[in-house]
Amino acid sequence: MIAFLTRTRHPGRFDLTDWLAWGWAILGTLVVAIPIAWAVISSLKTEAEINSFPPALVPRAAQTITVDGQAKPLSMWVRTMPDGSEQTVALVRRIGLSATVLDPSKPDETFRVPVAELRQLKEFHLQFSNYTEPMKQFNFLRYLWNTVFVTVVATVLTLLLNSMAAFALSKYRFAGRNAMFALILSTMMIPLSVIMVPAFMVIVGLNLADNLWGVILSTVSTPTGVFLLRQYMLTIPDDLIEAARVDAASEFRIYWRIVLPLCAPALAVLAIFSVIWRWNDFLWPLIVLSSPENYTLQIGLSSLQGQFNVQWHYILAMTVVTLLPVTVVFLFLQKYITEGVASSGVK
Amino acid sequence: MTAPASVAPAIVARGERIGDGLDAVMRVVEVPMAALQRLLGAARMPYVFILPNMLLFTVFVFVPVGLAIAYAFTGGTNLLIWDRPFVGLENFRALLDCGSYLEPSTCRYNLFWTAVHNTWWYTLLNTLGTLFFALVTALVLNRLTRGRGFFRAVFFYPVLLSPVVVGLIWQWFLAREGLLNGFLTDWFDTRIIFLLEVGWSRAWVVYVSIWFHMGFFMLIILAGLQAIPRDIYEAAEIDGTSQWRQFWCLTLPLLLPNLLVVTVLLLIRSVQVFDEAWVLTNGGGPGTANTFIVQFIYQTAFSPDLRLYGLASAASVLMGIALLVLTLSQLWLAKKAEV
Amino acid sequence: MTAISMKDLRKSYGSLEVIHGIDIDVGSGEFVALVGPSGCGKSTLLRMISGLEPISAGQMNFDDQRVNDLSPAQRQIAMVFQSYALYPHMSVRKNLSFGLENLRMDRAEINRRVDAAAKMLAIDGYLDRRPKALSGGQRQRVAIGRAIVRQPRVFLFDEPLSNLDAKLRVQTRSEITKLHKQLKTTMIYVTHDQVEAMTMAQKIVVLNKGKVEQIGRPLDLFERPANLFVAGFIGSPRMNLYPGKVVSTGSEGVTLDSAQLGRFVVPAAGIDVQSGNDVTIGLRPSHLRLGSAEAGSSGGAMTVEQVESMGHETFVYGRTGQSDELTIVHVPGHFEAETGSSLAFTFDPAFAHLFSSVDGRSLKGARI
Repeated sequence: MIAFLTRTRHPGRFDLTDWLAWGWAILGTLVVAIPIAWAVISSLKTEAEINSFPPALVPRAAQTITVDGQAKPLSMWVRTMPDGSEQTVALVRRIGLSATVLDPSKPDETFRVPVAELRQLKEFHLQFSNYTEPMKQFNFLRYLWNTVFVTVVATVLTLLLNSMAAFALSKYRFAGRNAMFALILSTMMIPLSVIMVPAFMVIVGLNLADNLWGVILSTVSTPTGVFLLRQYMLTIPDDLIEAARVDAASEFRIYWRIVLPLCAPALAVLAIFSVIWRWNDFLWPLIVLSSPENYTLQIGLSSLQGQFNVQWHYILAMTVVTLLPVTVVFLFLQKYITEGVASSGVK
Repeated sequence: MTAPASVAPAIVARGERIGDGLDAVMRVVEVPMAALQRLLGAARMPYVFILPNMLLFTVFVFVPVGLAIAYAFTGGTNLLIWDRPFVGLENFRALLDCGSYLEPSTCRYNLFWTAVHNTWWYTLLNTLGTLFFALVTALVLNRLTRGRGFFRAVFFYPVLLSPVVVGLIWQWFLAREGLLNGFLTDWFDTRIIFLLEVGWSRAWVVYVSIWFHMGFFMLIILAGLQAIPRDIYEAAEIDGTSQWRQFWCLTLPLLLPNLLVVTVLLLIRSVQVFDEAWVLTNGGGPGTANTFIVQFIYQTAFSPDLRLYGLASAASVLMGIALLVLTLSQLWLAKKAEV
Repeated sequence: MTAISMKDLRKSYGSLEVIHGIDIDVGSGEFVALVGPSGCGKSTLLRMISGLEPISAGQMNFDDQRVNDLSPAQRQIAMVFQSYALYPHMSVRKNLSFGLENLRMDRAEINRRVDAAAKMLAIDGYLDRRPKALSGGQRQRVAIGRAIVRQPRVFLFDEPLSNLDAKLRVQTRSEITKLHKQLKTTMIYVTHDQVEAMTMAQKIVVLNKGKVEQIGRPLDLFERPANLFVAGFIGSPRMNLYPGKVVSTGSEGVTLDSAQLGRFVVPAAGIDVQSGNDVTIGLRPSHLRLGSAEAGSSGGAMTVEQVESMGHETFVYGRTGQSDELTIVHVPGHFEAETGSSLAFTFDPAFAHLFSSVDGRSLKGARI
């Protein structure tokens, strides 16, 4: 039975083990997709729908009708009469177990029926205001802007500073080079969770607490980035550097005009990773940022959840907004990302 | 990036005219850097290149490491190190003051030991679970001749989500009005408030972690599998080896170095569990059932009513030592795997 | 036009010295080839001239200017690399103009120079292509073009032809020679191929293990090698070497005795040997003839091991006596011989080179 665990199958044979393999893959796909799909579907439901149980699989909303003589639109219900026939009615008001309804074709005649006879009529409805409301109400536009700012600035600085360090480490011999490289690599061993308290002290000392720059600056230098770029630069022939030096280019110009353009593939991989890292960062911004106008999306989202009255329709809509950019990046650059991870083991 | 040979000369030429336009912009940086080179000499330029990076590393990593150790020996609630009294090993003593290490309630800081216990169990279950699912999925994907790229992408996708998003998605899925309870009502006529029951919530925290990170480890194992040369299987086939024996005698031993590295990596990550569990369980609930070490450090240091920086630093130092041991063993294993 | 003088140049990496005091003078506008086996230090020396490699000790002058501490750009040299080192992300035009832009040269002047160089090297047809889209020979010309546009004081070539196929190599050889005649700039050319050095250079510097073995005009090196190393290195196929002993010296010349060649008299006066000295006798394959010895000549016999005929000339390899090294005889035209058959050869003793068996120093050059 476990024979399917061994290896890539022979072409042209499809046996039990292949069925099991496909079964696992498809089942796994469902396990991955269903919770996310459920969140996306739910994010389009009305507040009333989202709190109703059992949940509906498609977003719906109550059907309504505007009737002359009634100030507000009335919701539509189906009344099952004692003889089994059905009648569509509009609900005017509900008191205890009986309800006052009217027949939309005869708007003047209201009558009372038992609630048990009524079943609400719902129609397919996408509640897009879940997406627009929090932007105004909870300042999510601000969070979005902060996140974009942090992501873009940190990524640009990461690319610039890490590639400069990688250039020095790969294309020069200088005293202390190996020691510095070892030091940079050693920072891989020191996770944020170990140094978060004193790192915050440093931020306070630099007067960067509750400041987006405090979030940005401490994430700019990445050992992964330096390592990745250094390995790539080692493959650029030294002859090119020397040719440029003979061509009277300054050292910075060699870096800027020769090495950087030639590193474009490695820079692209690092840029993708940096964008995803910075977009998803949670613990560090949580420590550094304290006032709501400086929140990033992740912090804003988790603070929304922590509120007393949990408004899931808004939370889910903002969750979707938060996962959307990463998803789009992944859809287009899936191959680079998975290959980058597989080859360098970074995440 | 080198353009392929097929790139039309006209495009190359146009590209370079645009490049010339950027020239002026780029000169803005080049001119001062060239002046700097004249001032310092070309031999000192590598230091200039590496300086910004090292500076940031120093400020945000090396200095904090030193500070963490220094803070661990001080007490009080003042933020600045020179306002803090030296207390020697008091913080460590307080953390380690326990009647029995197996019973958190007998400890002076029982929350710390609850967190240690929770983290220990989480680490064990998460490592084993992730390893199992990642291995099986990698083997399955390695076997598929069609659709491998698609499934690889699907399984990897959750890795890219943020912990907050993952926590919220699952909280909603498991909510009282969630989809899972919808099914349970339909089929078994029952509802479970998963995240408010100790046993269930712990199980779901582990499950969600596996769901979240499995794809990453699956990719690493898959890369290891694909590095195994095909011809040794062909040789085994000719020798009449059964597929079962091929797995135990070829695949597993050849994959073992890779699996060991993955295991240690998993241990390192598991010990640091925080964000997705924190969001999923609304801050470690129910009660302290899902409070982990990092959360303990975070709360001890940053809760407005605690602000015990020294105690938090001492806990950080203890965790750092544990992680250092794990990391060094990983480096050692990785080195062995290379040989 | 720049003359270069090197005085006691040394290069060491830590305690390891790789260039042991080199003195070379390169005349203004001269074409000098640096040759030697791989690892002899010729590329290191070239890089020291270029300024890419710091000079550990000694002095390097361009005309009267000391350049030891100047960068390549300040020395105003241009260099053609073995790998060409074309910038892969730039078009040919940009490759040529990059160096000039670095000098903040006027755009019109840059264009003028690039176009002139492109026309001269016949690469004006693909100025807008990337190096990847070019053939090996075209890349090689772009590399030369990149050097030309700079109008440098000195051209440096680091084995520029080694990546070309045989036919293209011969063609490019003559193109570089032509270029030198046209530009009249000082050129220093590193190669391990003695044919390139012999055919192109006005002056050859033979290097071995970080030392100069001999400096001279190509023919001088061939006819009067200063020592066994140069004798063995210059000339293809190599010189035949035999151990011998001085029997007597006299006014008619030096009488030698050799196990393989017998006893014969080398007709030259003033050779610094005494009877009883051990010497090494050198004879070029082209100075050996097949056939029995006649009056005035000497000879030996060999057992044929291999015959290489190229149609217009043939090399016969044979074993003479107990010697490890095979004797090579150059025979004009096509020639056939059975392997294992015995052949006699003769030579004119006047063409014999004599080397000291103690230090390999030349005791006498060949007659012209």
